[in-house]
Parts: sequence; C-alpha cells; structure tokens
Amino acid sequence: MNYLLLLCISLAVLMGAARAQSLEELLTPKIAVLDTTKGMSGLQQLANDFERIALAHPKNWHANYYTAYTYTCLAFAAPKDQIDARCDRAQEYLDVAMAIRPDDVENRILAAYLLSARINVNPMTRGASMGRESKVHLTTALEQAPDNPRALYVRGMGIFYTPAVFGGGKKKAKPFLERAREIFDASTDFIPLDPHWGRRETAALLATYK
Amino acid sequence: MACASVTYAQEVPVRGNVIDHRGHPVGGANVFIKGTVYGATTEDDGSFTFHVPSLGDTVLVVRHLAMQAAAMPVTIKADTPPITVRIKPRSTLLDEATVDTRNHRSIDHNRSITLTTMDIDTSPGSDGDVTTALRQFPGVQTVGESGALFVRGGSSEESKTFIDGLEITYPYVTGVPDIAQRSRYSPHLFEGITFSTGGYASAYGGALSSILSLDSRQHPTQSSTVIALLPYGVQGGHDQLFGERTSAGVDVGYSNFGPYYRLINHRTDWTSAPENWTANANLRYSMPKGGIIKWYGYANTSLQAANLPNENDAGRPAYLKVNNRNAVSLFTLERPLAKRAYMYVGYGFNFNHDEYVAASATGSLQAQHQLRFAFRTPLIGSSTIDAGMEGYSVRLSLSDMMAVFDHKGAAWAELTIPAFDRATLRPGLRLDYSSLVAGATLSPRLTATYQLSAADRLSLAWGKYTQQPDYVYLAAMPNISYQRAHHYIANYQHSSGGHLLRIEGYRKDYGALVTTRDDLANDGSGTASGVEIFYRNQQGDSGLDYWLTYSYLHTERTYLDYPTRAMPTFATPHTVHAVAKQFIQPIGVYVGASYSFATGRPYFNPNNPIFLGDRTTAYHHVNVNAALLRKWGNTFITVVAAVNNVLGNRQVFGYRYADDGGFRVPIERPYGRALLIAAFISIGRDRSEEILNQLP
Repeated sequence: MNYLLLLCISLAVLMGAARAQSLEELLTPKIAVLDTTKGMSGLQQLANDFERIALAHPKNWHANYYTAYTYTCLAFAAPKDQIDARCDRAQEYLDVAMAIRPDDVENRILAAYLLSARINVNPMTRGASMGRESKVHLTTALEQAPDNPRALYVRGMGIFYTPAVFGGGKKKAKPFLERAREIFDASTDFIPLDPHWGRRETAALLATYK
Repeated sequence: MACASVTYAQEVPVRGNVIDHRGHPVGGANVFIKGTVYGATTEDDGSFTFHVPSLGDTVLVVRHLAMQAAAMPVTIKADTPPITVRIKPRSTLLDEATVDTRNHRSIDHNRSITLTTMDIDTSPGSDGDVTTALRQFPGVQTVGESGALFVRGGSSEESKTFIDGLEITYPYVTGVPDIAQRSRYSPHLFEGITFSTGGYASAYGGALSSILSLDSRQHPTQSSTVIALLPYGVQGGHDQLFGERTSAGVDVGYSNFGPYYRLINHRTDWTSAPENWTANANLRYSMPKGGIIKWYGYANTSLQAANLPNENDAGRPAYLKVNNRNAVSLFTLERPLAKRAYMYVGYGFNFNHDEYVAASATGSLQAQHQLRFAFRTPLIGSSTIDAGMEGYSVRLSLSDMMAVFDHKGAAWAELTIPAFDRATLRPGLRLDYSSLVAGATLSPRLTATYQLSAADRLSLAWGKYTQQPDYVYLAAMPNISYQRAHHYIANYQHSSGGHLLRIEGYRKDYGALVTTRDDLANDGSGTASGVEIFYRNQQGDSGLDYWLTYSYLHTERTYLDYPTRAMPTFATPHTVHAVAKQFIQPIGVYVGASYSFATGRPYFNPNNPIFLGDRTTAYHHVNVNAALLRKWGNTFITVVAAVNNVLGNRQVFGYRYADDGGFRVPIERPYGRALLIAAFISIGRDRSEEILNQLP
C-alpha cells in the first residue's frame, strides 16, 4: 500500500518535473530573443508566444511576468493612442504574476516601468499622479533590494525625463544610471529564466551624456 | 509517460487566416489551441500556420488587442482544411480603456464632459472655481452676474450638484445679488469632475437641465501639508496616513476680500467685503478586498454687506447684509462585488442657513438628510443592470415663521444591453415621489450608442426629467406638481490621438413650469433647441492644450411672472470660447489665455411694449495667466500670476428698472482689469498636480 502511494507520489513529482522542464525549454529561447527584438511586429509575436505559455500555465510566474514585460515593451514602442491598450494587457498578466509571487521585487519594478509607459500618453495630466504611484512601487523595491539594477534604471529613467524644475533632469539621473550600469557589468552569472533586462536601456540613456 | 507520448506524436499543420467583420485581414493576432502553447501570430495578411502533435476535437482561440476574443471548435486531422476566423472589434474605444475609470456612477454614458482638476484650474479666468471653469465648455450660458450654471436655456435651479453620488443643496456661497459667488468646493478635493448637459442616466433625478458630479479623492499615498497664500486669504491643510488603509485630512481657510477688492477697484460699495471661514475634513478607509469607505465634512460661515443701488429710489444706496452658514457631511461606502458588480451606500446631510438683513431681517434654514443605495450586477450575456433607491427628509424654515417638511424618495433601474456587436442600448425607468407634491411621477429614459469605428461614435438619447418646484413655492402652495422636460439629443463624437470633436444637437420641451402671475400653478411651458460644437486638442507632446466651443441656442418659455413666451434673461443665441494652455517644460512655466464671446442677452424694460424685447451689448472677456513651478527637496512651490479681463472693458449684463420705468441700474461686471498673484507651498509628497489644480 505504502509502496503504491510512494509510486504515485514519485510519478507525480516526475511528471511535474518533466512539465517544468518543458516549460523552461519553451521560455528560454524566447527570453534570449527578447533581448535583441526591436519593432512592433517582432515584439507582438513574442508577446503572443509568452501569452500562450502563460495561458497554458496560469500558475507559472515567469510566463506571466514575461507576457506583462513584453506588452510593456510594446507600449513603449507604440504610438500614443495605442499605449493604454497595451498597458492594460500587460497589467492583466502582471496582476497574475503578483498573485503568484506577492513578494517578488521584480513585480514592483515592472509595475513602475509600466506606469512610466502610461505617463507617456500625456505627461502633463498623468505625470504627477502616476509618477507618484510609480515612485511608491520603486521606493518599496529599492528598500527590499537596494542593488537591483532594473529598479535603479527605472528610477534613473524617471528622473531623466522629469524636468529639472520639478526636481528631475539628466544631472540628477546620472548617479542612478551609473550605479545600474556598474551592477549590470558586475553580474555575469544570472539565472537563465530570471529577469535581466535593463542593461541595453541603461546604456542607451547613458550614451546621451556624451 | 504522457509527456513522452506527446513529444513523439506525429505533428500536423493547422493553417488559416483571421479577418475582421469587414473581411480585412487582421495581423498580430494570437491564434492557438486552447489550453496549450501550440499557436502562432498572424502575419500582416492575416494568415497563420502552426503545428500540433495531437489529433481530435479541440478549440481554437483568437486574441487581439483591438478585437473581441473568439473561440471556435475545430477538428484536427492529418489534412485539416484552412480555417477562416472572423473576429469582431471591441465595442469600447481603444483609448478609452484607461486606468482612470474609477467613477462607477456613469451619468450619461460618454456624452458628458469629464475634466481633471488640472483642467479646471489651469483654465485662464477660472479663478480655481469649478463652475467658472465649466462655463468655457459647450452648453453653458455666459451669465456673468451669477456663479451658478445655466445650461441650454435652463435656469440655474435646473442644475444640480452631487458629490460622491449625494446631492449638495447649496453648492454656492450665498451672497448679495448680481455678484457672481464662488462654488463652495475647491477642485483639489476631487479627482473626477463630470458634467452632463442633458440626457443623463436614471440614477439622477430632480434636475431638469444638468448634473455636475464630483468624485472625492481616493486614499493618498503619503502624508503631506499644503499652504496657500492668496491676496484675499490663507489656507492650510494636512493629510495624514495611518497605516496602509486609513487616512485623515483637515483643511482650514480664511478669506477676506476687502484689501483685494480695494486694490482692483471693485465697484461694489462694500461696507463689509466677503469674509469666509471654511473647514474641510475627510476620513478614508480602504477595505481589504477592494472598496472604500469615505467621510467628507464641510463647514463654512460667511458674511458680506454692501450698499446696493436701489432702482426704485433713483439709485440711492440700500444696505444689505448677507450671512451664510453651511455644513455638509457625506458618508459613502463603495465596494466591488463579484466580476462587473458593485454596491454603493451613501448618507448625506446638508445644512444651510441664510440671513438677509436690510430694513428688516429675513432668513431661511434648510436641513436635508439623504440615504442612497445603488448596485450594479451582470445579467444574461454581457448585459448589466443598475438599480437603486434613495430617500430624503427635508425641513425648511422661512423667517422662523413657517416650516415645510418634505419626505421624498426615488427608485430607479437601468439596463445596459449590448446589441448588434457595436451598439449599446440603455433603457431606464425612474420613479419619484414627494409628500409635498401631488402624486408620484414616472420618468422613462433611453440611450442608444453606436460605435461607427474605433474613433467614431454616434449616440441618441431621449428621456423625461422632472423637478419639484422650489420649496419657496411649495411652502406657499403645497399642491403644485412636478415641472418636467423632455430631452431629445443626437451626438456624434470623434476621438483619436488626443483630438476630440463633439457635435451635439438637442431639443428640450418644457412643461408644467411654475407660474406666479395669478395663483401659483403649473401653467408654464417652453422649448430650447440648439447645436453645440466642441473641439479639443490635447496631444501633450508639445505641452499645448487648446479647445474651441461654439454653442447655438434658441429658447423661449413662459414661467414665473412672464406674461408671454419669450427668451429668458439668462439665454443668448451664440456663445464662443477659445482657450489655450501651454506648458514650457524647460523653465517650468505654465501660460494660458482665453477669449469668450457671447451675443447680448434679453433684459426687462417696462417701457418697451415687447416683453423682454431689449438686448444687452455683446460680451467679450479675455483672461491670461502664468504659473511658475519650482521644487526644492520635498517642498513644492508654485507662484501664480493672472490677469482677468485683460480688455478692462465695462460689461453690462443687464438692467434693473424702477417699477415705473423711470430709472434703471445697470448690472455690471464689478471690476475692470484685475491682477492676482498667489503662492502655494506644499511639503511632503509631490503634490504638483494638486498645486496646478489650484491655479487661479
């Protein structure tokens, strides 16, 4: 009897492992492409790929997180009148990701990043209120993980685009961006599936200082 | 084992294409087998190809950002024929799906004008006043001697104000006649300001012409302090957070217009310029599973006294002192229930005491309690129902001699039915009852909206609206009945990429208006019809925001003491506004300008045999303003300079004639060119938005 139970359990564990591995195999190549994908149609295709995985694996944090992230990238690439629709879709999957791992600092960072995309629709009317909301996410994230380079990048980016008279500007953004680059450069052994975006974006902003 | 069998199964191709309702290809759609990762993204020509390992009956799903998701049963076999999937566009506008849709109390389903607090107070000439800012939008008449809203040929009593769904009985400070008084509530208390000029939902009653709905702010994210220094007063407020869910705030202000009025040469002969004490307080609690409990309290005491020219005494001054005390307490609970369902409970208390001291003193005291329930829940398919009921208890005493009691109530229900893919029908019914008015009244209403394309929408509205006669009349003659208006509205709206174009045509038929010529009766009637055009460009990139409005109005009525049908004193055929605001980001300066034009309004001249046959001269009004924004650490400072009535012209709004017609007193704008400089200091969180909101 006990053996039978054990067999059942180990079979279940094995099958679970097999399934998880196949999921990792599905995600890894997509995440690799994500780093180099540009343009709306390429990103849309990736977003759809991640979305299919997320819908088939609703309990998987990575699948949901990457769907949300890719839609956020699409929002940054989209014309103004299409930003909100993409952000709404991103938020849908970010909500799921947050429910799966409520304490993951990356959720908070992505939430702040997503709000930055929304602010782009109309910085004048949205800047203050959504900027504040975004700041709350980032402050919490940086308290939890002061050396997370993505949190530093998103904060730096926010300051970069905030007019100097409102306490922002390129000068004030620089320390955050440089710190982010330092950490990106120092971290070489990242876990394959975990978020590692931001290096390219940080470099792009820092390039404007020359 | 199951895994292995999947991996080694024979893969078969699934091919097809996705088209929209017009047969055009849809690119970028996500096509996949439900519950699996097998799928593909459609190409620009709508085609897709992918491979699946398993055979049999399954479901193919298509998702696209701008379209409704579709699912269709398919049978996968070795030679599956190409599949064509037709998907429908989403019925809501793409750019409408913003995060700012916290307002559950939809007033008139997308035909209303929604303003941010920022819109209100960066508008040149608005002086940080909600109703003054609204006057630059279509449908509102330019009535410079009043602070109230006159909408589409309706009198000021026909507009009602609600905060968080609860009625506000006296939204304006009571003052001496023919001087525009400010609305009581600072726009920075609200995050949603919605104004409907007709055809509103069944949840709203007691107003023949328009509804102004204000939604108080949600839970703040940080404690903060704000101080405002104005030439006529000071104001200080503090918001404190207690944990994650609870917050409380107080805001106290004192104003005395005396020194400022002397500075701008205010022409009114004030013996005591308006003096005000105001206190606002709020409590908010966010419930653990969504939903919020809010309390808002307001108290105000104000005094003003002036020598006003008496037209029946050859313009010699007559003293009038006006005292006003007002308090409001609003308690609301809003909570989302299951998907697409929500509930609301509100309790509102309004107290108002007016005292007029001239040769003798008169006054009125009104207290009103309101209890309101509302809920929304999905029905079959994607239809929903909104329903609710409310009860009022009102006591009004006039000059401490006579008191009126009114117990009134209403119940309503409204269905939202999506039809023919792109249309939405909203039939509704409202029942009003009052113990003071003879009988109950039933008001059917119907709205139909048709989405022409993602950016274009057509809507039609029809409805019956009723309003009790003013309590002053009901006190004298309790059995007069409801006044009524039928609205017929056709609206076209185009909105894309920061452009909004709205064209609206309407007709209003008034009936049973109160007449006072003989005995009080419901013998009045009237019509109002017109066309309004509104264009706003708010792209945000360049920091430029501008709008143009044109309102045409044709209206006639008999009511009160009118001997014949005539255009009322608060109406004019043509009104134009042009407003532009530019934010100069590098230097943190906001500049704005506005120009308003209106044709002359009728005034009563007893010497003219034609009743209301005279017209004033046309109205011209130009305002400019500038705001400098600076931030030091966590302190945010805004300095504002505004010039109201740049032209400095004398503007006559009308005349008051002596009974014998031998003398007249002009009703004028009481100042020439007026300069205002103010400073706002905010410590704590970045309240730049609210600071901007307070710009005069």
